[in-house]
Amino acid sequence: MTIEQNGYDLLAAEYYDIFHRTCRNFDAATAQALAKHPVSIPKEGLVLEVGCGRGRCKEFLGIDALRIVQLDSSRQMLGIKERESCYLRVHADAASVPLFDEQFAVVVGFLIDPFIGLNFFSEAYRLLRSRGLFLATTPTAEWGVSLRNELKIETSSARFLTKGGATIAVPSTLIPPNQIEEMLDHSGFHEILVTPHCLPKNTSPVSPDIQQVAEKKKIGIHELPIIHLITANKP
Amino acid sequence: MLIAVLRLLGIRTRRQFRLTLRALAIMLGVGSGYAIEILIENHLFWWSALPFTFVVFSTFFEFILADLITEHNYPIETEEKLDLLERQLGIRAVETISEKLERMIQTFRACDRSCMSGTLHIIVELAPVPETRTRFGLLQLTNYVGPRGGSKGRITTLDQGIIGRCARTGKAEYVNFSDEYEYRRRMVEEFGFSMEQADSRTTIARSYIAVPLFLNSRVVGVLYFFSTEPQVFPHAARESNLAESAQDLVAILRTASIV
Repeated sequence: MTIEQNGYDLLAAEYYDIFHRTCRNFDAATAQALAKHPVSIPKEGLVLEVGCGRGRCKEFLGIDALRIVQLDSSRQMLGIKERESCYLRVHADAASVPLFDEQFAVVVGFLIDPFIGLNFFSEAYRLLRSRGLFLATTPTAEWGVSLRNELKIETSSARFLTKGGATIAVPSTLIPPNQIEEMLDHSGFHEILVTPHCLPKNTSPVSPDIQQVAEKKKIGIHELPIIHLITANKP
Repeated sequence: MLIAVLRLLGIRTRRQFRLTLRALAIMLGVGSGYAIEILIENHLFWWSALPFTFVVFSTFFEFILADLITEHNYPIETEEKLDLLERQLGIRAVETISEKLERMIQTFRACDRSCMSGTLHIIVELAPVPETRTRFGLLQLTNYVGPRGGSKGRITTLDQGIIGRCARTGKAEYVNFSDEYEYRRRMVEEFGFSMEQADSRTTIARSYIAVPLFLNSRVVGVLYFFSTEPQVFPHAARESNLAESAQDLVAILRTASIV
């Protein structure tokens, strides 16, 4: 991989394929998390989906396409043909969005680990209007740090094995839930809730990366928290 | 004492100091030569021996003594410069600076403070090189506080890095890299390092902040922190009042006649 390339540009063609079992397991955990913790999406106003890929707002939250602005830093991800329709697509960094303040009723991101951080939370806060909702999921440090230590890879990057056999590293920051809460609070959010979620019981196939960590921790694969569901409100 | 007088005269760099000594030697030599001429015209041959000794002294001063004095007060070699700084500063003051850096790290919010490292750089004159006769650089005065970073004595030229940018602009500067590839690319394209130099630094750092130290409206140093955690700055330092803390450090450096 050369330094100019965005890892997700290289992954775009196959990111949503069943071949990437860990991602599909995250999808299953996300659907179950939203079922367990239903969020009240404001009935009106624009929704910004950060790190959107092909878009998941319709699938997970049932939001009308005309309300959705999709944003991604990967051109190839934004160019995926089979995608959810939307009002607008923006090619930009989620931590530095070229849009005016307080325009969105909801900022949503599914698997925000490539860009999670104080600057992103502050940017989400800036973009949300008053009483706006922030909703996101991110892989847990409990699962990811254990796996990366086990695989002896850098803890701030995720490793994808492609169908062609190549290994692609992408940025991925894993933050403990108490620090996520502190960061959201520091950014100005209220009513912060970070909840851990495991793989649903009927999920198949299960990623070996999840199995490996569960075995290491001597717990069942459905007892290992793999994602955090994050919700917060702008006062 | 000599340094204090020179500072009063506005002489701060090695080059300015050496030129001042040269001017003194020339004035002494020319004045003594003129005195010799007057004394000889008046047939005071023995008296002319006195200014003659001044001519000999000024020659000796310009060609030998002035270089030695300059080297003593403004050593070129980094290590000597650092030793001189530390002698002037004293071990206790260096420890105080490190303690203050640690306390500043504890003021950062909503980040993992165990990932944070910091140090202090001061502006020094570097040995002239053929391309530019006088260059200034930033000398790392203390070892890094925190888990990462190189040891004291590292030199960074003013055209390199976020600390160089901070010293040039006189404003707090920050930068965040999302991964190692972005770090390498931007260190070369934006921050004036070669790929080798970029690799020799802490490649896993992701967030950086540099705050200028001012003395009489002049930048005399840079306070510098970095974290291996991404997207920390500027938000984590929002309530830290780094500018005020930087001026506390200037007071210590000033007491020790470092700046």
